[in-house]
Amino acid sequence: MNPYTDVNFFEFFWVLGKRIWQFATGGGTGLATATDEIQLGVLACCSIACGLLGPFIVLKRMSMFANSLSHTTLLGIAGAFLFASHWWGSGMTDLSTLLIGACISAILTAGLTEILSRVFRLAPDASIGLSFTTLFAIGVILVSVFTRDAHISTEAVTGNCDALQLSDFRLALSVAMINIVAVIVFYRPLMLIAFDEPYLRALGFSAPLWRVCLFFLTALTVVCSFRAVGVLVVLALLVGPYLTARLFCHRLKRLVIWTPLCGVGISLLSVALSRAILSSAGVALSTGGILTLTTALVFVGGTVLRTVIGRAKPKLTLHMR
Amino acid sequence: MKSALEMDQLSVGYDRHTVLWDVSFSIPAGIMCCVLGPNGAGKSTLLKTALGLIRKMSGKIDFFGEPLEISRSRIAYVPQRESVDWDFPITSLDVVLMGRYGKLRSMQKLRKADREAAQNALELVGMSAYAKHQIGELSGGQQQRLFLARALVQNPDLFLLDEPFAGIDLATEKILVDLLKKLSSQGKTIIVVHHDLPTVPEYFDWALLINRHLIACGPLSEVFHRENLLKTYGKTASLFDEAVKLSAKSKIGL
Amino acid sequence: MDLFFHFTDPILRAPTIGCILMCLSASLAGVVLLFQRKLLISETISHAAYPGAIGGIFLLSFLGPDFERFSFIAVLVGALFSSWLGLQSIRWLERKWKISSDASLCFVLAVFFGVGVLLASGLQQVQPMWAQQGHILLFGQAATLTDEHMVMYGLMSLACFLFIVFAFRPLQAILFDRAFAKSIGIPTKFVERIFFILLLVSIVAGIRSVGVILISGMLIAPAVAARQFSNQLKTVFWLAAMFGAFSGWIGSILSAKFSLPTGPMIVLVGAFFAVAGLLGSPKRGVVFRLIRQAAFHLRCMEENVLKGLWKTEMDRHALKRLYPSMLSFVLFRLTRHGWIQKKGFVFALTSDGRTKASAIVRLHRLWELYLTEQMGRDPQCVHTSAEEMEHVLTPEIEERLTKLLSDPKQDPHSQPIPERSSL
Repeated sequence: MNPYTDVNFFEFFWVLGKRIWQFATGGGTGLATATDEIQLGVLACCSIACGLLGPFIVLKRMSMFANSLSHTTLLGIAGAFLFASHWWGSGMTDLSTLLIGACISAILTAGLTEILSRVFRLAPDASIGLSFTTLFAIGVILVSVFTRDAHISTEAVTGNCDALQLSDFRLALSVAMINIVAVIVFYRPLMLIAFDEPYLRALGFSAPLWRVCLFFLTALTVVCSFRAVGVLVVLALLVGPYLTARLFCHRLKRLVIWTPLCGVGISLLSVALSRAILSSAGVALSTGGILTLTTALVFVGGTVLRTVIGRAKPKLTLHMR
Repeated sequence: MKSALEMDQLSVGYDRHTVLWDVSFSIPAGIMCCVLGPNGAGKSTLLKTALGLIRKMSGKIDFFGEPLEISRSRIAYVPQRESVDWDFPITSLDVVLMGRYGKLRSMQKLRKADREAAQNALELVGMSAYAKHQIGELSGGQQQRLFLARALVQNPDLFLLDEPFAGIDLATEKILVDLLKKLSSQGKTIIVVHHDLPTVPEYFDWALLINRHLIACGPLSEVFHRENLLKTYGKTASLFDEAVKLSAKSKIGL
Repeated sequence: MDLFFHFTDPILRAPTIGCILMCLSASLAGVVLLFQRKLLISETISHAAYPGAIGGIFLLSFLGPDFERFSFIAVLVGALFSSWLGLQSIRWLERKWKISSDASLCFVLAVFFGVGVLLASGLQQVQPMWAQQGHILLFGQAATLTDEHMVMYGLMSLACFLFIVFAFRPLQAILFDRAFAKSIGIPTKFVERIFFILLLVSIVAGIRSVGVILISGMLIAPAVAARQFSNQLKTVFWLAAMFGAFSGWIGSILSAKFSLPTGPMIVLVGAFFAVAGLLGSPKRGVVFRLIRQAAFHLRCMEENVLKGLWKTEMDRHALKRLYPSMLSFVLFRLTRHGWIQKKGFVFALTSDGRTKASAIVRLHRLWELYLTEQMGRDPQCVHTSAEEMEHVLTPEIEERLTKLLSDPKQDPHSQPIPERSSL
């Protein structure tokens, strides 16, 4: 019996808090994790992973590129699915196959974009746009050729937060951990490559290496979030919390901490909201969708707060990007 | 004595036109040299190619007798202000500390010596008060001083500055020039892409005149005269430009 | 015969013609975005249209099942509204909060689309009968286009076409240099506003046939393809329209033939044209560039051999030492063209070959003289440059050099400069 059934928005936090306390004080032997909690765990880990990378991606003007990555992940998943079902007969639940497929598509996307941009000298927006629409179209056709099942495409796009399992949580947690380690260890080159790439090269670092590193971390984060929130909603998590935090903080080292925290807060609010709506109206709305709405509302709230502070303390300058 | 920067038949071309063609010169150590030429002459390209930021088509570049990979730690680059996004969320102190990244290994923490060097550099350029300010709050002159401070902490023997005096106030220009002259007197080599002819005799000892190709390189007394300046800034080289463009285009199949 | 069937059959004609018309207007809009380097805004606008479309269906659903045939209008109005809202949000983020265009586009895209997903899930639960209308918006469903759609797309394409025709000059000025256009009195804001309305309309309308996610492909691919073939804005517009129309036509035929979804098929055909342009365009395509590069390289090698033989006859051994690469092929070509002949073991120039070789040597020595006299170069250093230039200098440049240097007879190394060949 799910302990969160029929709770309203505020009761949700109470129940959650109670269960965490029970777990922490050792009374957790009889407790099975509720679906809401798994959902929360996965979303929180996704938020941390996205929130750590978000600042670098936005500052390096890679957001739309992350968008193209998220689209072509569908191609990778579809390709992996056909491969798996043709050769080994395993289905969609085989996570590692799908991960490999998605990684291959990520490499294809980045490779094609780079080729269009460097060899063919297309403008950056044209390179990104052309490569991902082409690859995405191929992906959709492949899916419809081999499966005739429209739901796979739709689900990959929109995500299915309500069918999450512990294995998804483990995946999301590992990605979050990888990102934490990466950002701590590689903070300086990542910061330099976003701020002043020529200076990075003048110092003797290899720009391609660090660009690939950033790209790889982005791809990993996007790929691992697809299951929970769908590939398109992860973008809101990459960009939104950073933009909100940036309204108030102008130091990157602190932003790298505040952004994931903001993301976790948003996840918490979203899961609670989703449950509350289910309890009161009986309608199971997409948690992913609620999450994007919450991200937007939090950002707008931030701008309101910022304006209020700005009027109260006119000396505080307003610089953010 | 080994020259600070020596180029031999350097050619750099990109896209449709060769930007530098067959440039050879040698700048000795310890002097303050300006790089002069009209817009599009290839002055910034010269600096960027020297640092390996732009790929050269042919030719050799040596710093203190060695190629870039070996002498990199002795060179500091001060790029143009527009090359950076000043809304980036970091403080002045963070920017100056970047100068030390080249010397540290990946996870090595910044040492006390590094932080002190950064503070000293900020003081030398008169920016100590702005150490904790976000860089977007700085004026143009302050931003330029910040870049110089970043170069100072690298403790280099050679400074390469790209249009450092563009768009800054006279007071800041004076501070920067005094600082550069002091460095020069300590034996450092300073090479500056400069755009303001009247100030050349006051600031520099040597001049490198280019307009897609080398016009002259040497002490001011020898090369900084009317005939060379006419050749650099005048329009007599249009035939040369056309021919060089044709050659570059044929090489890339256009 | 088979092809015309698609235009006349009452079921197939709407999808076919509808797709062609829709792609036509999309590609024209795409050209403008291409020159403004704002192609990705189409991506955000299309995703921003999704919640409005779903919202429109949602509202309509409360009116009752009889109103289902008006869903077409509800979708259109809703989509236009939310995409307009998206556009305003982008402006607000960029102007008020100084957020970079890249991040604004991405954030608005994700938020609006997420809200759309939210509404779609609600629609699925509350009015499941209507949910199908929402599904088809993601990937499009050209097969069910009706004659009303066709008429609407026709009007839309006409509007786009007329706009481009009447506003061509101001548009050209704005795309080239907006500030300058404004300064000479062109109503830049007005022109841009009209353009954005048409952009919104073509994207929103295109969503029905190609889907939210892929419609931006129809703006991007034909424009990119057209750009490879011309530098003139007018030509680029015509070519883009042509490529767009063809993509729509061939794409819908292929998708009908192989029972594949129409949207991706159209985008793939468009992408094919784009790639073909990038590779095979005579002016800028990579393939032709590589061919020209190789041809130039070969010509240089041939001319070098001719120069060598101008100085003295040589046997194969000597030639091999001086010109090691591809010697046999070069000698073969030179002999075939009649520039050289073999006398026993030795190669020598024919009289035609001698004329040609003199011309090259003349260019070489003229250039050396130019560098030393006009450019102040050291005579020791000019040889390499001349080696490069002798293959490139045109007769016109040669004429100017001769005049500039006053028809010289000797080069910097005191060697005679061959006379101009009288033609």
